[in-house]
Amino acid sequence: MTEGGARSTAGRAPAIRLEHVTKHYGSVGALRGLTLEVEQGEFFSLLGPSGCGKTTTLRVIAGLLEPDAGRVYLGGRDVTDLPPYRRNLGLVFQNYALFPHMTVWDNVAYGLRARRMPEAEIKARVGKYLELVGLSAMARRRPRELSGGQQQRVALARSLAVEPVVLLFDEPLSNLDAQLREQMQVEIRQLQRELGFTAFYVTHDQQEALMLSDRLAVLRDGRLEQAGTPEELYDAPASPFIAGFFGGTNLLEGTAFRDGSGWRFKTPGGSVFAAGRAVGPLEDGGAGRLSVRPQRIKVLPAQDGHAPAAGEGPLPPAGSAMGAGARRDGVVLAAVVEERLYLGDQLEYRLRLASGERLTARVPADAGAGLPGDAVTVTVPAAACTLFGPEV
Amino acid sequence: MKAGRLLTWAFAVLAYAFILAPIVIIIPASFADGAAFVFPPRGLTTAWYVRLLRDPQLGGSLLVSLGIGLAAAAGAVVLGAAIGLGIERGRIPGRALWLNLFLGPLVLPLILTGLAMLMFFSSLGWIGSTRAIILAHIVLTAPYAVRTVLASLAGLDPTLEEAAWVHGASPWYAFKTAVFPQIRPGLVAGGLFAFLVSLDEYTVTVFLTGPGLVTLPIRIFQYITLHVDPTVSALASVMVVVSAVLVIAAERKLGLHRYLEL
Amino acid sequence: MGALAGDKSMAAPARASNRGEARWRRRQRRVYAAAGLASLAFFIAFFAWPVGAVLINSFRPSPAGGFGLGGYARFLTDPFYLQATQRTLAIAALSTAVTVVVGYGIALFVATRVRGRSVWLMMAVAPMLVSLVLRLYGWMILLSERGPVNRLLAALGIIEQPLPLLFSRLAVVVGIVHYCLPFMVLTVYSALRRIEPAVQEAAWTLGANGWYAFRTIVLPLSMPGVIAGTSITFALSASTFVVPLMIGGPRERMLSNYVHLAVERLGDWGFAAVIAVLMLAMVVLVLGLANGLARRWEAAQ
Repeated sequence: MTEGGARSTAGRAPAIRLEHVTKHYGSVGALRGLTLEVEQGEFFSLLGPSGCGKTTTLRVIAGLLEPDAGRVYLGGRDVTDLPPYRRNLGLVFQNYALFPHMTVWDNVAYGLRARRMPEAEIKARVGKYLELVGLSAMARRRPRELSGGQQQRVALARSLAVEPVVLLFDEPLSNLDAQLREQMQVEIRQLQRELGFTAFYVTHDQQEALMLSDRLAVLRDGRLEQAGTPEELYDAPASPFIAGFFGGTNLLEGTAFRDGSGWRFKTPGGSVFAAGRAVGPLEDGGAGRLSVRPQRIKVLPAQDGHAPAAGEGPLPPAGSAMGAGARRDGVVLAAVVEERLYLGDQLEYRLRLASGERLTARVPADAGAGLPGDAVTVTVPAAACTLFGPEV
Repeated sequence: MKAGRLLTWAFAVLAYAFILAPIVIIIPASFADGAAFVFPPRGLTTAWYVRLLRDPQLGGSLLVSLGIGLAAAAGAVVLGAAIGLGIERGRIPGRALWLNLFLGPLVLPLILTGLAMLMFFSSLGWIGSTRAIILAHIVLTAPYAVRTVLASLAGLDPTLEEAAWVHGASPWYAFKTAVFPQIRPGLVAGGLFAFLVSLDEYTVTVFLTGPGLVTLPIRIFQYITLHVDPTVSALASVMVVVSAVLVIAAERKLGLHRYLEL
Repeated sequence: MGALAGDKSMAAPARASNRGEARWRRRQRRVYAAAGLASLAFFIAFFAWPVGAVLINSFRPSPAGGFGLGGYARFLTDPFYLQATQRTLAIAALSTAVTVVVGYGIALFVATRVRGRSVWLMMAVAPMLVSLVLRLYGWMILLSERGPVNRLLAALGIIEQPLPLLFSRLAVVVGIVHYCLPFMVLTVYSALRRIEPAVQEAAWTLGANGWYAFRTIVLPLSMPGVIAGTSITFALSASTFVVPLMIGGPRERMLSNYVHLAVERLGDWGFAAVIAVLMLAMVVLVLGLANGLARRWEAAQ
């Protein structure tokens, strides 16, 4: 890890490369042929529901678990058969794992002493990293005399001090309260930018992963579901699972229809949607699943319980069987509010479409347009809709 | 409500008096002029303490027992640590069986163990030797060390050792710096139990002593019942005070009661 | 970074690390296992083997005779030893009963303390770290003819003549209870701690309701601890040697004392082994019964 060298290493070997890593592990947390690459200087998050194998992956990289098959490369070097203490890594644990019988200083110096570094150099390094995490004044304290956030900073300094090839994080913030967590997220990100280390960050919190990462990957049942930038995963989910994982989604079963170069989707009740994206092999008239982002649906008051007149709303209605319109860039549908949940900054509407299907929408709290029982008009832009083939 | 509380405290006072009286009484009795078994004493004297300093038999036995106690405690701690780590970390198969074997000396009637040691060491011709007593005491006191080691290993956070490995510590270095310091209080507590038990052991040791080798409890027994020599009261009083100080210090330093709890 | 300098020629030993743990970890585990096995070997040599030898020797009733059940027959047909067995069992049963009641009371008292709990616990338990020989010496002082207890009873006008307290069954029971009490307190206290909230609530709502809560919640839930403590106490009581030796006198000898006498007076190690093995059988039987009782209790809960 060289400071500020993050972007200049683009041509080098990836910081981490997993090749077809398999680990049998009961039924939960197993890995099934996982292949993954993390670039030098990148902040990479591994995300997934509990039991998906993300912690297993981290432990395989750290050398705490041995894969049954496959190879692990760090900085281009095959480390599959190296013990953890020869891999030159840092790991920030969920429970901090600070040595309770040592002072903060000795904790940070631990990896350096294990490497038999000269005392003078240790002094300089420990001083530097304690200052970076803002704990120089606490050097003589014991871990139990510190708050949770301070303990996590010590753990971070301990890992930074060895100047590792990769800094691993195992859900490091899940034991902190919400406010402190946000503060630490910002700090970790700033430190990573400043020092340019490669971060491999395991978490189950999508918000955290979206916010911190240059790139992230979602793991499901020990397989890589999708990897990419936060924008790619959020806006272009590769599967209904990914779509549901980030921010939740409406998932409707129905039939796919070709519409020129694009696709449309029809529910069993007859509502028609325009799909902004289509993923996976689709057949004209075959089965499909539609993901609709609740945040992109607009809810407007209906007039006389009928479809809004032309000019109402952003999407003028086009004639359709159900009294709702469908165009290339979106549709307008009639619906009834079943439930209205106040979430503070947002309102969540549970809607029943005139065609019978249920749909959830989230609108800004000041954009509310109806109480339970009210008829409303719903506009669904095509950009909110991703159509998935039956196999995805 | 009031009556219930009164009853509770009355019981507590009586119960604690019962527990502590025979220990506490030793101290005033050591200053009694004349026979120790007369109360109230006719007068006060420190004569027994003076005589204690000049008594070669009690002094000799005290040294013998201290030496045996230290050796046995050291042996028990090493054995306890090895078996605790072997069972928990070495994954030796048959965990329950071995644990029962190691706790056996606590369950078996002491007289049976004593007889066993007599038969075994006499076949080796070791009766009346210090090494036979030390070996027997290691067997008798190891269960205490095993229990405290197992207790401290059970409370050990496994991620500490992993943190050590990941940050560059070899297994041996990690053991030295991250694991051992965590189980050290347990080892000290186990060693203390072992030492105190060894210092007090009578039932097994009585089969193993010889003409030139009398341990302290046996000597004290002789002084009390055979010689009726009040010099022993001074020694008893000193031992009670030392035990009390040791126990209080260990409680302060190590939280001894954690290791006593089952 | 040294790790980045991985020279391609040396890197990637094409060895498949299929199944099983890494070598470094296996090596470490072997070190632990070796240490464990060495101490197991020590224990088998110096404990299991000698104890096994006692068992074998119990079938060799006299130094001259061959193998047989003669020793057992001799014990079981001699009214003297049968009486000693009866006495041992009676003393152990009485001591255990007293220990259960007093020990439970102390454990409950400690468990319901809000402050200074560890101090109360240590006061009740620490005496087991004081030499038993010394504690019995203390009882000899207390119980002697002109000792504090007799003086106190006389001063209160309860007795006119001093009672022969020492070298009696009463003295033996007192000594055994004092010896076993810490073990009972510890086991019951541990059980009570596991159900702490219930105990605390019962303590706070004293009176009739508290008693009801105790009877229906605390007592049943602490029963496994009581059973465990009782079996430990019985095992210790039935096999005590030092207590009757010091404060029991010749009439209150228990089986342990006869084992010692068989060695010292009769020189008959085989017969000593017979008594010791029968004592062990008794203890195992009682522990087994208690174990079964505990299981049935847990099943019934």
